[in-house]
Amino acid sequence: MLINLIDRTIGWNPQLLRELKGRLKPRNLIIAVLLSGLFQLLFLIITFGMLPGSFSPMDLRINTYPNPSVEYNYSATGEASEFGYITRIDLFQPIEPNAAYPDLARTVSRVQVGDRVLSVDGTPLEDTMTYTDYQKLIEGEFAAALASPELSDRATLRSSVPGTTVKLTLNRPNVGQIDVELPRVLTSTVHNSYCRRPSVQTLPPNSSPEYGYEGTQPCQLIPGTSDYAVEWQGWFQTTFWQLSAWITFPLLALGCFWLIGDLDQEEKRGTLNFVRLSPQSAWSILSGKILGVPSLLYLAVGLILPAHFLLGLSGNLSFVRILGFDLMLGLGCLLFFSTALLFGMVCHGLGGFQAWLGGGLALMAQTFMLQTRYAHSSENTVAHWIPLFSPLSYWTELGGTGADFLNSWNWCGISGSAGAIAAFMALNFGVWSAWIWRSLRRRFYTPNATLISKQESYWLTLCFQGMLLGFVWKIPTFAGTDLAQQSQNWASNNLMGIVWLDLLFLCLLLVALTPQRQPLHDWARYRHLGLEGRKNRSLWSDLVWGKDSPALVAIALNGLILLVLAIGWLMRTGYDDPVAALATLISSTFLVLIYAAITQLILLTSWQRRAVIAFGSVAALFALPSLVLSITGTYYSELWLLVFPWPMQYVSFSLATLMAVFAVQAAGLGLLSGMLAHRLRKAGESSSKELFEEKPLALSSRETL
Amino acid sequence: MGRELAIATKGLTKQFNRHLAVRDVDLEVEIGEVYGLIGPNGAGKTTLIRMLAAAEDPTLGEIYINGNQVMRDRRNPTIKRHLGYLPDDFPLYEDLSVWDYLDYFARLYQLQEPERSRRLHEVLDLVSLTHKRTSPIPTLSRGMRQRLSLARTIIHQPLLLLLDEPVSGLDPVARSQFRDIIHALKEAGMTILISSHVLSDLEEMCTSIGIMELGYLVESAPLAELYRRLSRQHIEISVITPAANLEATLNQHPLVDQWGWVDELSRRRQRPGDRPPAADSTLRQLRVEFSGNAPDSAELLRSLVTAGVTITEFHTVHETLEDIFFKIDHKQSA
Repeated sequence: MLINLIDRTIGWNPQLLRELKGRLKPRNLIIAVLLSGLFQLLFLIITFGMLPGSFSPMDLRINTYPNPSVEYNYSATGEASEFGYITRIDLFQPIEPNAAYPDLARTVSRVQVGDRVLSVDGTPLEDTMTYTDYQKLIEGEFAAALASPELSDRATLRSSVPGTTVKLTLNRPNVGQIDVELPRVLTSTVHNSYCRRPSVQTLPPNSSPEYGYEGTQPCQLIPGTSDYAVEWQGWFQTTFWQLSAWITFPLLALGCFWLIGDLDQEEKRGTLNFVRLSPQSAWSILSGKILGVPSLLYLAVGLILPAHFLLGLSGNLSFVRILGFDLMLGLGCLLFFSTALLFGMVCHGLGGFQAWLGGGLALMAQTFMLQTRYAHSSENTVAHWIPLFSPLSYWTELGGTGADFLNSWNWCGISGSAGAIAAFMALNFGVWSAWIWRSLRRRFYTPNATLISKQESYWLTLCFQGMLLGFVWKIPTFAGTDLAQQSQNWASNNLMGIVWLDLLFLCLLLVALTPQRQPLHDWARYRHLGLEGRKNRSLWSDLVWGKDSPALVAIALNGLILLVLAIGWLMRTGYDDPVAALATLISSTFLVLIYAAITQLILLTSWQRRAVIAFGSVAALFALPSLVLSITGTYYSELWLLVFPWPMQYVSFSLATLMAVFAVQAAGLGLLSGMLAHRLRKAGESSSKELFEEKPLALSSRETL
Repeated sequence: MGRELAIATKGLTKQFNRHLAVRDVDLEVEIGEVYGLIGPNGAGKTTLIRMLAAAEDPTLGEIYINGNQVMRDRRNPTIKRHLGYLPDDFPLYEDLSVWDYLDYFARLYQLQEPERSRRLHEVLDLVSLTHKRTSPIPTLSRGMRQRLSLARTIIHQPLLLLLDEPVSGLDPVARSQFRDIIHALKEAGMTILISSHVLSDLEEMCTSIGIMELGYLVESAPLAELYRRLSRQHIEISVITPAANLEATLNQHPLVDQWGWVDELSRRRQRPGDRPPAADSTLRQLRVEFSGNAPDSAELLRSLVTAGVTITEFHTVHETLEDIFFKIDHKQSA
């Protein structure tokens, strides 16, 4: 019946229907529903456990209002002497904020930090005392009841303590000895972040702005009851956010895991080829996969959504805002799952490990994106882009805790309101999903094609660098002293951010543009024939635009586009060390070109697992020299310049050194390019020879018939 | 008026590393033909079929299916709708039932209700799997799986069917069932290209034959023409000896190229230690290499009877496709 219903509603997508038919079996459905229910139950048990619980007389404690913390005065040599100095004043609210404690606000200024308590109710403080001894004096005649393990003894405190006072004799600097009377208050030992925060009292001078311990405070009872007053809105909001995180992380990681695993299964069985041979579009098949493969996960999450909405609405979040998050989550899923499919198409032959790898990477990426929020400065930076790839940033950055992010965010002059950033976030997900889908479409129809064409790569680079530089296009207004230095630091830090992100982008472009061995061989051999899809054009034109030609020139051009745009931004910022900046940018481009040449050379070999070897070689080339230099502590060596772009920013090198470094890098690149050209020429020649040598043989066999 | 071609390739070439799997193949298959592709292992049959099915891009050359060129890197939806391809490993989805599997492919090929259900019943009936329609795929036997794969291949009524080794690993009964299905599809007007090592099956099913060696298509012709050109015929005659005029009649007949006693032939093939055939048998068989047609054979029979030869058996025998294949000096690819 369920399948019939699905058939009627989503019969338009045969792939989706097939995935649902294969997965929505009664056993699977029961497991998904049970797991979802069990998760919700556990989640509620844990989150309810974070509430203060019910009141017990054992929670009671006696303080004064305000409550001074007394300590020893430490001499210059660090030796403690003279007990009784007030170092901190807390305003522990009484457990029963009712008529029993009138006019508490008038007492807050009776003690000050720096006063020394000489006696409590006439009992002098001695230098051998501890804070516990002092506390006993404060408790006075109620100390015995408080120490009693009998609940009935302690319960009497609720009626006997209110209205009593403690007389402190103080020695106040510049004033002398004074007597003050502080009311005793009963407080709770239960501290909880969800207890209702009392209205702010006027604090005495130099007193602590905190109410009790960090982020928590003694809880108060609801007047006339034995229940603690809970800040339910805060609890609902926090619980709602935690549930959002619990939905997002597993959804993205498990979804990626399943999609990559499913694609691997299809490739192994050879069934995907049948689907490719059908007249269905790539969009129809792959969207069916994205919607269908994680269907049980969607079901489990769908069953959580009512609780999610209920928590959000109870936390006073508007329906539209919650819906906004769901939209972001949907768009995030689209981007992550599309990327997972592409990853699955590119990365095969790892014996199923790629599913674990992809799922793990999705989890790590989410965590990294959320962590970058702590690196935010108060000015706009390129790092402001990174959290926008995580749906959870909708709450962390655009919600109450992300005030810095909102204030400092800027893209091409558009400043950060929550609405504008949310719209940008949606646009960001959309734009990058669209690029991923272009690659998916190419790869679906032609499994050995490069992920993007060379033409597309130039547009992609413009899009990437345009979006990146948009975040630092507005030069922030600095406050305070040394404005020029602040401005230079801002430009320098962002330049490093740009160099790193450009380096990462170029490495991804390397993967996307480098043709596989067979198409490259075919290109080398048959390029001159001007075949369908390989227009007969000059070698250079073919290297810049052509299909299946080596990627080195195209990567260099993409590097140049990045470089030109970055230089444009640098000129705008008025950066005072353009040589170092330029050197950093050029050096990183050279490095990627060297990686590209090595990758292409390895991919041209007939080695087994050459893609893995190529990836490992480039990763080793990237990480090992830096690791060795770090271990040996060679931080300011010219050697860094050869293997890693960043030190040029921070260490000054002479122009001659820089030129020598570029000469070495260029020579290395030239050598590798020469080797590549030689290998390609050989591949092309050997084919012709083979054809010439074998054709007469074959013809002779035809003639014998 | 030109021939209507279901398949036409021009200079089709496929290279894997340094190995040319298919070389410069110009293949033409007319609409409605059942074309058999034969050749030793590694001759390039599977690669050729994969390229025709658009499952593999050619390195060089052009492919036309029903007059439409297969374009590289394109979706080619019209061509795909007209193609049915059954590879030799016929992979299946193990998590679906027979009906759901066929229903999935019917939807992929955009069949709408009620046509879809009607077609599903039709193909299940054709491949004799109606009784298994609700069975999960893992419970099917190899023969059933193969028939299910064929059903999947024809569910959308393709104009051109490409079958790669469809009967490999099947028992004689399953092969016979398969031949019947192919006959039914041929009657329905489908063009079928089929590669197989079971040449007797092809001989029975095909109208044309192509022979591949080392990636080349070394022969491609209608079966009748192939027999005419490459298959010799002979007449086997059983007579009661002694037959006095037999030798003279045969020697004088203009269409008799040569003749000999079968037992003598077999005697010549005797090895030391074998028991010799009886020399004084009254019933003996002879084999006549004859270049005439059917009326000429009748005339020879009449002249023998007139000459007083007592004949107990007289029939014309053609060389089989297998004989022709072995006669061609083919070379196994390395």
